[in-house]
Order: sequence, then C-alpha cells, then structure tokens
Amino acid sequence: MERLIFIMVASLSFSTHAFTLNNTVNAAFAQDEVKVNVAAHTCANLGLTNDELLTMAEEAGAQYWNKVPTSRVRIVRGSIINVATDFQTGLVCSSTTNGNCSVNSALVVASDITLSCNTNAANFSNSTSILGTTVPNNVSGRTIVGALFLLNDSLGNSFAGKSRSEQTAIVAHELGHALGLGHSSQAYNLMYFKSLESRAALGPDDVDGITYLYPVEQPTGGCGSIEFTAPPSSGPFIMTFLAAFFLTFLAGHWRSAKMSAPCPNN
Amino acid sequence: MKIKQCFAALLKILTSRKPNKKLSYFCLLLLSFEAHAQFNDLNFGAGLMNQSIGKFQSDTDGSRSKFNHRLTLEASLEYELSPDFFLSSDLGALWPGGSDEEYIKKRVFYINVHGGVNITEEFSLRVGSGMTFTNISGDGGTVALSNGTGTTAFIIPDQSSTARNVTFNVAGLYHFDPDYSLKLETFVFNIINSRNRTFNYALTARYHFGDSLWRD
Repeated sequence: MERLIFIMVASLSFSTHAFTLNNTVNAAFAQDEVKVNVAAHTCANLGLTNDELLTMAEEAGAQYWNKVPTSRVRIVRGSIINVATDFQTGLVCSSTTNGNCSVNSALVVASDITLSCNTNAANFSNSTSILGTTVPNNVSGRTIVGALFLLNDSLGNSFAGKSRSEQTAIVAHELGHALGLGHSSQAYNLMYFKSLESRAALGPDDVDGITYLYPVEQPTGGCGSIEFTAPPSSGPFIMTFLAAFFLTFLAGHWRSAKMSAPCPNN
Repeated sequence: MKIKQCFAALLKILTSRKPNKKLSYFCLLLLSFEAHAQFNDLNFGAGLMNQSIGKFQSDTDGSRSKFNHRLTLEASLEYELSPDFFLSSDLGALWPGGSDEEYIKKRVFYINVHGGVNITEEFSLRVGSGMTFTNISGDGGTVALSNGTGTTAFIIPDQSSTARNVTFNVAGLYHFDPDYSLKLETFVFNIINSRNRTFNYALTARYHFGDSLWRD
C-alpha cells in the first residue's frame, strides 16, 4: 500500500499554465452556437475558395473548440455572405494606441463571426508571417455581438504554404480570439502566439479559457451538449453502459438468490 | 465522536454564550444520521484523478494527455439497503486545482450518488451519476505576452465562472481488510454526445470507519 501511495504522489502533475482574454475586450458571445460566415471575396493569394474556407472553419470548430466537455459554445458552419469591399482592403482598427484597437466602423460585424480575406498589409504588421488578425468589433458590455477574422491574403503570405492540418489549427486559433480568448504562454496550447506543425488538439489553457467564458450548466442549461442527433456510433456505447448497469443488479440478484436458497434436508 | 457525547456537546454549545456554529451543524448532521440506523459506512479517500484522458494536447510534439494526474480527496457515506445492495454518496475535490499560474485559480468539486452491489466480501461494484463543478476565477489586470511581432497586454479574467457537468460513473472497490480499500472510478462526461464525451479516471486509497459512528 505504501509503495502504491508513493507512486501515486510521485506521478502528480504540477505543470503551470494559464489563459488570458482578448486584448481588446473582456467579453463572450451570449448564444451557444456561433456561426462562421465567409465574405464572398476572391482570396487571390491564399489559394482557397470561399467554400473551402467555410469548410476549414467548420473543421476548426469540430476538431478544437466543440470538443470541450465543460464548455457550452459550439462553432457551426455559416454561409458565404456579401459584404463591402472594405472587408477585403480596409484596416481593422482605425487607430491603435498602446495595443488598444479603435474599431473601424466600416468593418463592424452585425452578428456571429465573419471571416474575410484581407490584402491590407498594415493589418498584419506588414509581415507575411502574421497569418491572421481577429477582433470582436461589435461588443455590448460583456457580450460579443460580432467578431471580425481577417486572413492575411497579401502576396507571399506564409499561410498558403502550410499543410492543411496546420491551416485548420491557424483558423482555430483565430476563432479562439473571436470567441474572446487571448494568448497563452505555453507552446502546447492552441492560443500560443506561434503556429505549430504538430498541433492536434486544444491544450489545458485553451480548455480552461473556453470553460471560463462559456461554462456549461447541465442539466438545465447548455442544451448544445445534449444532442439527440448524435451519430450512430454513440448507440453501442450507451447500450454498453446500460447493459453494465443491469448486469450489476442481475449479479446482485443472483447472489441473493444463491445465499437465500433453502438447505437440502438431510 | 460518539453520538451521546455529541448530543451532550450540542446541548452545551446551544446553551453557551458563543455557540460554535460549525461544530453544532456537524453534531446535528451526526444526530440526523442516528435516525437512519442503516447507514453502514463512512470512508475517506485520497488518490489521483486523470482528467479528460487522451483528449487534449500536453506537449509540443503533439502528444495527448495520458497521465495528467491531480490529487483528489473524497468522503463517502454508504447506506445499506440489503446485505447485497447499498447506496453510496461521494463528495470529492481535486487538489491542487489546475491552472496554477498565480493569476488563474481552478477548483474542481464533485458529488456522486451510486447504487452498489457486493459481488464478493471484498469487492463491490457501483454504478451511478454525479455532478462535477469546475470553478475558474482570475485576479484581473493584464499580462504582457508575445503577439508575433512584439508583446501585447492581454486581459486576465476578473470574475468567477462555474461549469456544471452531469457525469455517469462506474466504480469498483476492493477491500484489503475491513478498514482499507482501493477504489477505481470512471467519470463519463456527456455520455450521449460523442462530440465532447470525455473520461476521467480516479484511483483512491480509502480508510473506512465502518458503522462505529452510528453505534452507541
């Protein structure tokens, strides 16, 4: 027993990590389902169609943010929408002071998240390695009404040369900003400032951050976590647990019956 | 503390000028258990819980969390229904909480209710449901973090937020002797939803007081 306790204590995890919130707002969407719409521009230098971007955003939600058991938020596929050309060429912030963005009113998003290709290098610090910039630019108190996600579509941007899985992770990172999260200090978290080729899932800071902003409230709230349209693969899983439940009580019943059986008369 | 002693202590507390509220609540709780003579065990456990096994990234090489243990403390009450069947309720907490950088605090608590069956004298199987509470709070302010071209002041949470999850639990408890046991328990989050279904596992070493607390 002592040896077992020693092994248990020795394997305790004391890793340090912490999340932050977006640098411009301390807010979150009110709704459980947040749509990602794609602006109907031609993304000349990204090498992706609008439909491919929409699919990528949907995958980013499904692979990353929608998997958190303690969060109510769910990223869903929106549609391709027509917006002003400012979304393709304009500045996201009309001015920036000490890192605080004064929102360009021409680019305000009416609801949910709008993803747009953008060719204005100033949005990306005039760097081809800055892949995107995201600002919740329609905020009411502590509620995000709409967020703008601009992908760097300038000539020579490094997004186009990355693998599909890394591109999806980059989109997921920007969606994290749109949902209200800031950066994390640890590289294994999606919200770390730098893209990683080996990125495969959210890290602990990401999970804590999204849980803080969008806490699930079961059994009364967070209906998004109880879906009756669950894929068929969940059927056998539920049946296994129900079977385990009944087997437990059958085992007990069998044992009771065995113990209470009358002794044969000698 | 024996029930009669507790009753005497309670009388003394109630008649004193400065009643100790916590002690009187505890004594009242014990006295209420006395009314239900079929409570047959109180036990305390300490062990490790592995949260969301294999679900989230734990290293820059892409590996997933497999041995992300946290210390867990648990107290359980058992109510005997028959020689074979019993009900069990657990109250547990993870310690240390989780996000441990000084400006974020994370606390996890859980309450479970199980139906159980004694398979053998040493081994019992428990199936039930519970509620896990994940509380995250921050100190407020900002912290400078890299943004790719320099640093930006990112906002630190300034409020407290609590997520509530209903869990489905299956546990097995093995008695080494009447006082000590080991319990292995699985917590299933979002059991009917494959999108965000996750598993926690807890292994706890337990000390059993038996029914001595309810005997005169």
